[in-house]
Amino acid sequence: MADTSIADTSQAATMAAGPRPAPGAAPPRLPWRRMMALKGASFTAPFFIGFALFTLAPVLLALRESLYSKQSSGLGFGEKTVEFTGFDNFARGLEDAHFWAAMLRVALFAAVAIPTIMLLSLMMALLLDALSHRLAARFRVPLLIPYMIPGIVAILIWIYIYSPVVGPLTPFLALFGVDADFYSGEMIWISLGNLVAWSSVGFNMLIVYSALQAVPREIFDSARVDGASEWRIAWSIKVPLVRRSLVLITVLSIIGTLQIFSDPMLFRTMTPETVTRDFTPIMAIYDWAFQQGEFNYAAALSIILALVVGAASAVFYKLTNKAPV
Amino acid sequence: MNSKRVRVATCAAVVLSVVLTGCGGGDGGTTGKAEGPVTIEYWNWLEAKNVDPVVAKFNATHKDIKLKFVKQADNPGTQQNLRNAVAAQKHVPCLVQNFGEAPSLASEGLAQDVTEELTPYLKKGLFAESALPSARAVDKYYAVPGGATPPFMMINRKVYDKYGVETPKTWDDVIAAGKEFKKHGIYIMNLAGEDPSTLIELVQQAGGSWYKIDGDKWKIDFLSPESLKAADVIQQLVDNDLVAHQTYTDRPALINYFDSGKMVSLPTSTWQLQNYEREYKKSLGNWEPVDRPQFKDATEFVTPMHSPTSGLIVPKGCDHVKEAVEAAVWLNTSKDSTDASYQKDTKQYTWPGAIPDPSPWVDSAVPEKLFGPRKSEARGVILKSVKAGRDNWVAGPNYTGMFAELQDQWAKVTAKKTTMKAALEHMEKWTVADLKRKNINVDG
Repeated sequence: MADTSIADTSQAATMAAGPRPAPGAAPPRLPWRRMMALKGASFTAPFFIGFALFTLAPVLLALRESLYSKQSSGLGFGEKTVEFTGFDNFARGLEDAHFWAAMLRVALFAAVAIPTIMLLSLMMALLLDALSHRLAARFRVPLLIPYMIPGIVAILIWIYIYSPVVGPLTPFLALFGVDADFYSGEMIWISLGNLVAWSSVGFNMLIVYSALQAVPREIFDSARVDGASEWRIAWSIKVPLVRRSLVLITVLSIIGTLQIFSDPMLFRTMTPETVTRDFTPIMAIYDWAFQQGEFNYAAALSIILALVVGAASAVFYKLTNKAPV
Repeated sequence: MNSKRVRVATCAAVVLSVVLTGCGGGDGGTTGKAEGPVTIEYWNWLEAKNVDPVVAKFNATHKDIKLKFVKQADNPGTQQNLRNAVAAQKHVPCLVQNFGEAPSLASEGLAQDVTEELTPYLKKGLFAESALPSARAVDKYYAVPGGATPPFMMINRKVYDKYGVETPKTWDDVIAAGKEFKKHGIYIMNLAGEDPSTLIELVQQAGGSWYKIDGDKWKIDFLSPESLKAADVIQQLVDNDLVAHQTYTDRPALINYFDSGKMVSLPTSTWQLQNYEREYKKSLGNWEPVDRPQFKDATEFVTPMHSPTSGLIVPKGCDHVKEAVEAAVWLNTSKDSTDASYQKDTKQYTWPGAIPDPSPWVDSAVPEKLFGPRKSEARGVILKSVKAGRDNWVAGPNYTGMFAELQDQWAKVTAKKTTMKAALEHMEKWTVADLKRKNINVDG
């Protein structure tokens, strides 16, 4: 046994080190372990190639663009020159009151909308978890339907529903004496928030529900034996155990909300006096790039926004992502 | 080399060549130097049924130049696509329907100077005088002029008669009529929150211009007497709640509203009439064409005939400027082009706004039912407007950005979040600062 073991160890060591090349022989093959590691890593290649092409390269291009500016001269009709202006575009972006007003507007919206949506998602997941498997299955799909509807289609549906002229809500509420204008300055964030919640609650609920399903049922049984109420079980056992999932969907929501674009952009077609062209940071960036042709400045604003979103997500993650007790 | 490595190397070479081909050069086909007729790619967002017959007529009557129409989704989509094409200098079309003020597009590096190629046609007198300023800055042309459609007003005669309100002749009359209609829950006009063109047309009608060239620098004047006179009309309409604010983007809701009789005066032009004829259900026959209201101190009858989007631009990157201009001149001024634009369903031609005498096409611009028994009045109203057309408007090099900023200010005015005068003061500061930031000479 001992001899065999020694022989195996020796063989393994030889394989790991690779055969010593004889003079004039073919080049050495890659060590077996390294070869396996490379093969394993090759499975990630499609992701990394996509990441490099569609994420890293655009960021680098945007960084380069943001360091230049187009300059005119005279009456402004001649050829423009592209000049290296260093961080001037970033300095301008940091002083751009419209851009930061948009950022503040969206941050306030996020501060209200995200906790509300998380709370709704959590409550729905807890309710679903409390049901029998058969009953839960009946509710799962209908609750997910809004998430299945393509975003633009969902926005168009709600634009129609909100329309004070052709939509059904305004005349319906008028029956009760309520004069609701969903596109007014006072109502626009509620209208947008409702749309965002409608679209995202189903998905968030599903993530939390999956996490709840993974929790061993014996824990709940023990708690019940100890006399804990269902409410106490939910608050003191279930919620802490799905905290990681809650953190994940909250971070995704922070990223998505700070970059909100298509919803207000389409709402703008209905209510341009309320939803201005720089209503949200991304709308401001889009306007500078594609309506006004200032790609360099738009690139700088994009980098600033990415840093803000990254910082906000990192701070939230740092504060909340603790292992469950 | 072992066969496995050869295979890997071959695959890598193929992938690389495909990728590099995709990322590499290439040309839109409009700038090539190949033998045979020159193909001019033409971008426009009009419906294909309007453009295709005109392009077919051009191609049938020209041997050395061929037009290739590429339908664009809309005005903003055209802007975005052209900006991308010019920035990349690939697939640049040679003719594009103008989507902003041509001098501003030239300043952005999108439109070429076509003065040299256009001059022979100008000397022939093919264009109406009022069509030229929109395409010109200082003494250079940055678009082939397309001219404007004649502005006038149509009023809902049935509602006017019902409440005994006189046809407004001046803007003061409009405000007075608005106050009368307000008593009955009716709005005199509509001011869409996204479109400040009513203000701009009033400033033009008053003889003002926000941009002027003073030697080698720009002079910006949003607070001129003409501008403030126009602003005062708007302010009174808004302050007294005399106007509706229906958006143009929700077309069904807009038409439904116009058709309802709750809004009774509509500044309009020839190109819109057939649409109203087709879309109105209740108010067909109730409308009457009337002259555009004037300022009460006006010394002569004037209509604003500046049209920022009617010309055709030749983008930077197109090598066939001469051929592109020739095609554009044919499209905008030839009888063949106008005749080919006839639409059987609407019985209408594209309005030939660029030519000195569009009178042969006036009758076809007037629909059958819209004006009911007052249809015959339309010809006189339209031709009077054409004759009174003026264009003193000057577009500066940052007009595109200025207009976007003005849209936001206008939205605030219509929502009563600011006043028209405060908005103009803001615009003056914004425009001067923007020009300075772009290193353009400006007074102030």
